[in-house]
Amino acid sequence: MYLTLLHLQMNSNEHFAWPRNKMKIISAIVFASIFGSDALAWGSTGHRMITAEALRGLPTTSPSLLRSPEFVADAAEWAREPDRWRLSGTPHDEMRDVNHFAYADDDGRLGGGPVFTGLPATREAFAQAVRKAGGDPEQVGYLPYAILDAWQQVAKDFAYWRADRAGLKASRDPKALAWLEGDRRRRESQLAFDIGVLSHYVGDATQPMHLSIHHDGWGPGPNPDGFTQEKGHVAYEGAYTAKVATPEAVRAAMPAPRDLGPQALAVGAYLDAASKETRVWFAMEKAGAFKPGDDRGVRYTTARLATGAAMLRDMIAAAWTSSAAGQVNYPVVTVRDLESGRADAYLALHPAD
Amino acid sequence: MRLSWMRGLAAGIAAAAVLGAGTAASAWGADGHRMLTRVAIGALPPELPSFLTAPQAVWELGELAREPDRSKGAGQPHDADLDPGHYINVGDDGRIGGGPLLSELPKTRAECEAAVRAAGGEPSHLGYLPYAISDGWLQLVKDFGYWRVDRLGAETAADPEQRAWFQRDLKLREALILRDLGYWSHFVGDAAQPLHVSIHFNAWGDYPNPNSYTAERIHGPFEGAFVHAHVTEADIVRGLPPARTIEGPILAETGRYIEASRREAEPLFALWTRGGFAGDAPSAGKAFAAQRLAAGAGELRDLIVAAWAASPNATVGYPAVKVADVESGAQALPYAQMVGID
Repeated sequence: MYLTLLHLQMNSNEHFAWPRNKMKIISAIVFASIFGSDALAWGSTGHRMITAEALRGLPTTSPSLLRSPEFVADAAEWAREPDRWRLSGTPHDEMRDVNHFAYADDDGRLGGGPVFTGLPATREAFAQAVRKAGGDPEQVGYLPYAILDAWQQVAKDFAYWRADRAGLKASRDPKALAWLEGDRRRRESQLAFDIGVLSHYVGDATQPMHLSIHHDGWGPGPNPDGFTQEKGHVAYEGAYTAKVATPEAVRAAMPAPRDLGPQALAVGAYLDAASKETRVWFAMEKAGAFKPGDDRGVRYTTARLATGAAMLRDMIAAAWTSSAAGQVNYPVVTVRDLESGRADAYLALHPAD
Repeated sequence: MRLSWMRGLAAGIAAAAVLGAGTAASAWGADGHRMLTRVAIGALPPELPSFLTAPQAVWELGELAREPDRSKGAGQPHDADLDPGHYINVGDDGRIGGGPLLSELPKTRAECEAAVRAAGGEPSHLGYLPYAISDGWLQLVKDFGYWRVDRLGAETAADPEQRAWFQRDLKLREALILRDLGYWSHFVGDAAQPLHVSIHFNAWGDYPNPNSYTAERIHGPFEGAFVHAHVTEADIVRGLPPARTIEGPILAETGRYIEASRREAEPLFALWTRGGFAGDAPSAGKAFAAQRLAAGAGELRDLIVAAWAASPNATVGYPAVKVADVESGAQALPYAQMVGID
């Protein structure tokens, strides 16, 4: 079950309600953020916007559920959750915080080992490769695997949702129908949450400082271009983005839908391209592009958000398509057998074990 | 239209709940996880938020308890990353891979794995169940913390716009608490199955076997077919241990709980070898299985209560605000941190 939006006062240009004293509060947050130390990736505005524009941009071949205002609103809020669950304590934070980033060296290697375009198949294999190269995987981060894991979960959710719907279409048993209806609604709520989580990590990747060792100021090491040492990560992704980004501009800047191909290759290529933006960002910062009134920074930030929204849109569309060939339960039953009526959805989804 | 489907859903869930309650139970298969979680929720004390124990919530929690098994087979790296969260293969000496004791768990999963490697073990084959349980518990504390602030804001925010936002966030948080609690309850349940926490996780295996325990692969038949045939939800309720206050670090509690379950692995093999799970009326086997499920349900109940008790000390938002300070009035309602004006 997804939740119904309460009637918030909506600005016609923004999907989400802003408080009347928005600017006063922004000032307080900016002040706090500048003196904060944790990097959060995009702030609430960026994560909400990426989610909402991705869902709105889905092709009509995907379920209309995904484009409904209620679903979009819930998923957009839940896209904030991986930041909202920070500071929960040990071992929670150590297990989850490393999912937000993957710090590549200037030569594009992660901890001196793998590159984005040649990622090992699993998180454990990646960690071993980084350790073998002399790096510490906990310091490098696991963002590629967080994205892939969440993408596969969304595809699995779609497979179960298809199974529920197939059962509701075919069954005449009141007991089965009651259970399948409840399971379908529950799956829709879970789908919104899982898309929100996927969106968060896909969005993190388009923040130019989540994929580089230069994640908050250029930092130690060679700096021949004289890039800033100022810790501008939080101020850029948060207050600055909240001020300059609009849904309309992000929507207009989104590239056309495309077929992503194999998952690991698609994510690797996406991250590889995104990681090259770090140097671009620092160069623009040096040129003053992010100063008030400079349109270069606005266009750049809009393009980054649009890149994330388009990737998320295409990932959701691919997950929906692939779920037609998916499997549910254990022992496995194929979605094809359920949708064609060769297998009984209630028996498959509600096994007696 | 929405009200219509809500009524339909409520009716459907009520019907399913009635039908489910009347059926003979299953085990740590689908119905086993479902039963364990439902019993734990049914035993919660009244001071916990009432939305947790509404019929619809109980139904959802029971189904969500299956979810970590239902999401298996999603592909790589999903499966390789998540599947080891269901178990921890502990040696007969109480050590993980010859390294850390359950009573002295390193504070992070990465440190535990490093300790196992230092002891010559391979952590990726041993599982990380203690950390899955601890992670999920801390998430629940955080969720309850947000819920407390949302509830306060929904009731007391002076600005109608802010009050409306808190009311909506409260509903979202309640849905998320059900999701997080139900999903996590799976792992608490897994830990009550002795063969999820022992090197003898399927058959006794290639280890010294002076008592000539069965060489059968008993894991599946025990938790699946046997419990399905012989254990009911009422059996679990009857076996529930008294409520216990859990204090101290979550990892210490998790280690204690898992060690108690691990000690039941050998008695399980002994009982199986004696024929305690065979025949039409295997009373000893039934008592053993019901006791294990009840131990899991009792632990889940007590951990939920402990999470609620700890939640005033949680922080919400960024910059972080302590929940207790908001509830006491020492800190104003953190609307900006909650709505995230950034």
